[in-house]
Amino acid sequence: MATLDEVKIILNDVLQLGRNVESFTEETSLLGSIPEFDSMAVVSVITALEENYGFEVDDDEIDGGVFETIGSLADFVNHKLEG
Amino acid sequence: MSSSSVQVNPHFTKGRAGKNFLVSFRRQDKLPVAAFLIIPPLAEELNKSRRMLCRMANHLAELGFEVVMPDLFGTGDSEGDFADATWDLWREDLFDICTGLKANGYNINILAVRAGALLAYDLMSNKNLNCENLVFWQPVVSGDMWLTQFLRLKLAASIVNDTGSKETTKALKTRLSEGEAIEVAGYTVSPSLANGIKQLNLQNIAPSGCGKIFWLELIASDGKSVLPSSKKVLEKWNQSVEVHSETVIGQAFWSTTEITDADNLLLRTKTLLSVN
Repeated sequence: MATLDEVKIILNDVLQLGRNVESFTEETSLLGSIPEFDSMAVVSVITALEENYGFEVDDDEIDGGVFETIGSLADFVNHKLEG
Repeated sequence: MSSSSVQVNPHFTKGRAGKNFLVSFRRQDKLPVAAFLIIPPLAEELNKSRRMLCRMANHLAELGFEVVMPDLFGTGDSEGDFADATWDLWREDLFDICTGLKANGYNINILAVRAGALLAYDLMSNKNLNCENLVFWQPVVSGDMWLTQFLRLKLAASIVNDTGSKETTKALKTRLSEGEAIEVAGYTVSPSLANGIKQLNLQNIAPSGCGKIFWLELIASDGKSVLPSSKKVLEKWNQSVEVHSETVIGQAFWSTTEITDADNLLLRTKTLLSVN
């Protein structure tokens, strides 16, 4: 089970959001809301998740919904870990 | 950025397909003891790494090395477009640089960063290059995986821009194998470049001809070991060659959104090579 905090740490490592990340909640929007969240960041986050949790992400699993909020990203990670 | 005793010399050299830009670093007060070739990462990772590479080059020069940092053909300030670059061309250009350094009486040392590790590996395996110290920074273990991650930028762009058209890496790889060049994040990848990088996997066989191999990876927090994929390679290599591997705390400077420094990595690399 991946915690919200783990996902926040990974996001912060990739995007260097600094202190802001502490105030993030499940509902905090990612895509379209955080300017740092560009295509390079999306790939870096996926790679970081793969490396951190040891699963492989298939392209078919990736869509905008995964990166909508911190909560949706954490859900995706947990779904991968359960699968 | 350079310390006062290090002389920095940017110039062009003749490569096989055109002029390549190259920066050399050396101490002004004494003759170099050996050469250090820096093999850079590729594409956007190179842009993010420039500052770290330059700082390391200065450190290596201070240690007494003649440091040579080339821009591969079609990248940086070298001639050509990325679309014209092939894997074999890069390998041969690097081999020519090493041959030139050897002709000047220098033994070769190599620092290879990210996908640069695959080029270093190719030089060792296919060109039988000998080197004293081979230093890897966060080496890309599988060329195929690197290609997947790179092509994924196109998929990511379609998500970020919400274009609705989803281009999977699988489909892009098929197009490349059918001879089509693919443009990703401003870089046009030729089929021959993709094919060259795809073939390489550090897992295949341990490189011979190296004195010492240092394998350094960055971790975000203490207590983590090298990546699982690296561990597999290291287990295999350690059966035939001596590899020193360790993790250093610092940011993944080649991929961070802002340009970042990983000071611990610079210092640790310097220490390992000084003791050596």
